This record gives sequence, C-alpha cells and structure tokens, in this order.
Amino acid sequence: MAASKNNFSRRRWMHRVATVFLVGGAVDPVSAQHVHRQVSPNSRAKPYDRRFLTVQEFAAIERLSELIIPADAISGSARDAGAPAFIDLLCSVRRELGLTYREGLAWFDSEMQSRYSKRFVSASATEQEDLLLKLAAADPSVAPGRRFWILLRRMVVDAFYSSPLGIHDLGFQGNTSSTKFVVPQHILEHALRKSPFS
Amino acid sequence: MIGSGAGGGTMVQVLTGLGFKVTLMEAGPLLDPARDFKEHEWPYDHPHRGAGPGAEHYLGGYGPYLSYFTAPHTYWDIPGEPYTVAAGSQFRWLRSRILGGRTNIYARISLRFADYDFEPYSRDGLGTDWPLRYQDLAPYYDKAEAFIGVTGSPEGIRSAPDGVFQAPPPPKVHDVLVRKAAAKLGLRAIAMRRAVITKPLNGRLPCHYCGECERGCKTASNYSSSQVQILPALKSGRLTILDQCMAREILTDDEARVRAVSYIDKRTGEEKQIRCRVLVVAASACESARLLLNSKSSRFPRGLSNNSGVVGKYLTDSVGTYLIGSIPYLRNLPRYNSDGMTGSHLYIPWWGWDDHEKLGFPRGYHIEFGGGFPMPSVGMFDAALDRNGGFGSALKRGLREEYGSFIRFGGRGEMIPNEKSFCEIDPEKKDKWGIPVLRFHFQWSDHERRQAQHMQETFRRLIEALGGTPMPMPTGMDRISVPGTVLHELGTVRMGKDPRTSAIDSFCRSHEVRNLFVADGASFVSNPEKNPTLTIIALAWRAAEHLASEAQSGGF
Repeated sequence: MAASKNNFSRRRWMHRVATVFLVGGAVDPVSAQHVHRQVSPNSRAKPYDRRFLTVQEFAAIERLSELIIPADAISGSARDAGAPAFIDLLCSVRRELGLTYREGLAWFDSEMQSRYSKRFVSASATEQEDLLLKLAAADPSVAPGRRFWILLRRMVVDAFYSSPLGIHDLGFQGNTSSTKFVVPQHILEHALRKSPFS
Repeated sequence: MIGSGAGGGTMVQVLTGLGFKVTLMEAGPLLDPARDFKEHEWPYDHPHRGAGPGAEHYLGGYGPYLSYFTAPHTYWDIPGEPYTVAAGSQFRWLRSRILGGRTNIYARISLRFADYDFEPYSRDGLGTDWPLRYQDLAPYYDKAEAFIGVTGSPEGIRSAPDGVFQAPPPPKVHDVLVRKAAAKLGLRAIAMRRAVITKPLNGRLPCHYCGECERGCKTASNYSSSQVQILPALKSGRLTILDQCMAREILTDDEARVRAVSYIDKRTGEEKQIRCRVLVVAASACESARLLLNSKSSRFPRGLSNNSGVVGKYLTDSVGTYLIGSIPYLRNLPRYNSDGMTGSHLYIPWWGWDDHEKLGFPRGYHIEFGGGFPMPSVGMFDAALDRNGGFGSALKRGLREEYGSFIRFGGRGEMIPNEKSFCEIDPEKKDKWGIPVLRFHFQWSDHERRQAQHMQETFRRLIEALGGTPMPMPTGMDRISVPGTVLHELGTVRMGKDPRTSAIDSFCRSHEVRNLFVADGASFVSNPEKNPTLTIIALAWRAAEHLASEAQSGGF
C-alpha cells in the first residue's frame, strides 16, 4: 500500500517539476510575473475567533496594542493591524507562551488594583500610560512586570509591521517582480547630496 | 551517489550527461519548488505572520539564518539525529535533509579561489598546499560559471580572478555609498559574483528581483543543485533518486573496493543495501566524514579510506564578524524597491595579499555588506526595541524614520586548519536509526582572532568614512563567530598527493579505495576567504570527468 502510494506521489512530483522547470526553448519574461501573482495571494483579514485568551485578557491586549503602536496620520494602530489575534493564536499553540501572557496580564491588573483599585482596562488613559512609562524606564517599582512587557512590546511591534498596515506605514515597495532592477536616480542623488561624498 | 548538494548535483549532471546511470541517495524528501519555496509570501499571508505555526520565532526554534520562509528541511537541530560537542569547544552544524541540500538556501555568492590560495604553505609556512593549482581548476570554474550562471564584472584583481559572467545588476543606493567610502580608504567595491542570472539560461528565467534568494526560487533564476542540475538530469532517464534514505555504512570487498552501501529507508525504518560499481560520497563535509568513519572493517579499522587517520581532521569554518553602522542622512530617505538580488550588489574583495608583514595576521578576508529597505518581518525591529525602551507615537515615528538607515558590514575570512578542530565518532551516542553520531572539537587560534579584530577596525573605518556611527554590538558578537555558523565547514576528508597525509587525490578519488570518491567540501585542503560552493562545483566537475574517463578505460 505504502509503496504504491509513494510511486503515485513520485509520478505526480515528476510531472510537476517537469512542467514548472524543464520549460526549455523560448522564455517569456513576463511569465516570472505570472508565477509571482499565482503564489502571492495577499490573504484578506478574516474575522477572528478567540482561542486562548479570556474576553478580559483579549480586551487588555487590545488596549495595550493601541498604546504601544497607536494610530496616527499615516496609519492605524497595532490593534487595527490584528495584534491581539496574532498573540492569541500563538498563545493557543504554545502553552508556555499562553501562560506567560496569562501571568503577565494578571500582573497588569494587580498592579492597577494596588495603585488605583481598578483593572487595567478600566483605568484612564493617563493611568495606563503612567504604568507603561514606568515599565519603559525600567523603574524598580515595576520590576516584576518588566520581562513580560519586553515580550509583549516585541510581539505587538512584530504584529503591526508584519501586517499590510505596518508594511504600508514603512513605505516598503518590494516583494514584487520586475524585468529590470532600477534605482531611481533622484533617490540616489538625494542620498549622495546629504552624504560626505557630495 | 550519496548526497544531493553542490557536489552531488554536479556529479549527477556531468555523469548522466556523459551517459552514465546514476542512483542518487538523499536523506531528505524530494523538492517540489512550487510547493516548498515561499519566496513571494507576505508575513500576513499566515496568521502566525512568519513566527511559525508553533511560535518557533519566539521560542528560539529557528536560529540564525533560518525562518519560517526559508526553503524547507534545513535545521540546526534535527529531532532524533543529534550531534555532540566536546567540552571546551563550541560548534553549530546546519544540516539540510532535502533534495538540493543547502544549495536551496545559500546566498549564491560565487567566488573563485585566487592563484595563491592553492599554495598557502609555500607562501607563509602555515597549513598545507593543495595537490592542484589554479590553472588545473580554471577550465572547470569556466564550465561551472557558464552552466550555473554567475553575474559579475571583470576587474583584474589578483584576489578575485575574473570568470565567465553575466551582466550584474546595478548597485543599490547603499552600495554606491559604500563604494565611495571604500575608495576613501583605498579599497575597491566591485560587483558581487552571484549565481543568479540576469539573462535566460538553459530554459531558466532571468531574475525577477524579489530579493529573497534564501527562500528558494520558484523560477530557478538562482543556482540550486536541485533545480539546475538534478531535476533536468531526470530528463535523461539515467537518474534514479532514492529519497528519504540515510546511508549507514559503506561495505567493501576483499580487494578494498566498495561493493555496496547499507542504508535506512526512513519511510519504513528498514535497512537495505544497494550495490554499486563506483561510489561518490557528497553528503556535506562533516556527514561524509561521519559515513567513512562509521564504515570500519578489518582492512580499515579506523574507518574507510582512513589508514592515514586524517578523516574528520582539519575541520574549518570561515572567520566571521560583523558591525552595523547607523547612517544619519539615510533617515527618512525616500523609499524605493531595493530588493534586487539577495544582499548587496557589490562587495569588497581582499586587498592585502602582499601586505602580511604589516597586517599582523596571515591570509585575508572579503567584506560583504547589506542595507536598503528589507521586507518587514517578525523580529526586524528587535535591535531597535533593545535601544528604544519607549512606546506610543514616538516609538512608531522613530521606527519609520530609521527603517533603511543602517548598513551592515560582515567579514568572511580564512581560518588556518589546526589540530584542535576536528570531528570524530561519539563513542556513546547514536541517532534514532542506531547510527553513531559526530562529536565536534573546535578552537579558533590567535590567527583568526587577530583577523576578526582587523575586520572590526576596517568596518569601523568604513562606517566613519560613510559619515555614520557604529552600533553597539551584543556582548561577544564583536569578536568572532561561533564556529560552524558561517556554514563553510570544510576539510574533513582532505585531498593531497601523499596518502600518508591525505585521504583522496586531486580528482577526489580515494587513495585507498579506488572506486570511492568524496566530492563535497570535505576535500578542501584550506578554507580561503571565498565562499566554497563554486569551488565545490568546479572540483566535482573535474572529478566527474576523471571518473568517466577512468570508467571508460576499464578503471573500475
């Protein structure tokens, strides 16, 4: 059984590699672009069903996401870019990551409780930012939350810049296919003008 | 043939082309580029954004060079197939288990050795001379470059012999800046020699400049042995591939000739044998040494073709270190598509081959660099976040401004083979097939440490000439690379004229077992500052023609 299955998949493999590669003869320069389009689906964001975080935890991540990377005139926030779903998904596949988030978010709540007798999401923007400022400054009073903060901020930043919003924010123009590599002359001149070589 | 990387792929191509029947054994699966290569995928094509379906990126599962998007089946750690490192040594071993091996993922840098690289001992009394000279290999460099397709420009520099080149792509913005900075220091930055084509070649499409060569190339516009040599060889009808088969031991007869290979069919776990007239081992430098060392018999008590005791010895890797410069006037540079080919379009070849008295270290290095606007990905801003503790609008603005304003310099230098760097069979440990595994020993010497320090000084001067500032380096990283992590392991089954001090001859043929060849990086006598793949191909091509002519004259 196994052998015949292997033979079958090997035949299919031979057929596929033969059609993709052993083209021979004339080469159409636009077929590279064709291949490129075929394999770059640019999947659309789908509605997300929570997998690991509780409703409260997810809400806290939503708020933290927009505090870490907020919307501005150029682009939306990390929350808009799907950071909470990204984090929840990864928490759901690796238990140790999920527990890190569970404990870390509990620390945010207990810290807010002891300062203002509120959960993190119920605190005012100023109160929330105040706590984050202490974390950012590595203030000794928030030392127990610092490690989680570093991971959280890293993952929120990753989620934002790996999204269409973040990629647009940075102005990335690549991951495309062209028949020629061209450096725009005005950009080269711009760089040279400001360099020590002008 | 055992192994399907640059050495095995070249052997397959040349020998099937000359009418020989070849069976190729590969420890991993077949490659299906349409399914396996991810070069055009966006991070957001996946819910995990490239962090990996098991959050590998955040839990240390990928390691240097590798990501979710890299061509598949390449690992720092293979479950069930461990290796060990002796106390006091450091070594990391990147292994591929797939048709094409590491040629699917490498940066395609293709540099010829210089004439003097073949005679290192004659020049400075260190290491050992090769049993062949530049002029012996030059015709095979020509054939290799013409066949695989290499871009570059003729420059007439002794350390970087010119070859058969396709036209290179124009320099990127940071390439132009580095070329000017290098000129201030009296150094030359020239077009990188890279196995990526700009014109159609043997039915392969020219590069479409997506910049992701290490992910594999669906259009086969860069060289990989899988796409450029092995898949086309299937058309000949003379090639059979045994995929997912792991060689265990080479079996010999009473006349010290290879008669068969015993191997594990990984699909079933069954042990089988295959007979052969000639055997070529090209399983990667260390894996080839492991197979020979594991093939013991009364005639070869120290392992096959190892009566000299050199198998496993003289393991080297390139000397590596890097430094990143922050270039203030590149902040807020208007954006352009800087993908091009992977990495920079220029590099700085070694310049000091006549200056060793003042350099204070032997041999040399070349400089690779990188910059521009990379495809955003998870982890891209890790270093920025280490520097910038903040959050909110200021963080967002800062990351936007500094994106694309860094130039990274990396050195690739020559290590002198030494007695303390080698691999051997671990006396205890076996892999899940019961095959004894390798134990590594590795020490850099002061030659390498001084060279890495010189690299750091040169990078600093280049960054200053650029008008930039060197970025602080993580502790230890400013010194020298962890052995193995430049991925240029070479030298474990070295070639030579004297059977007492070498295992194979200049045609990669065993001194002791006349129907055995070792045609990968294991054969190297030294590890010049030239990325080795092109030389592996040229040596294998030469060995294949020799094998063919010997076979035709009844030599086996």
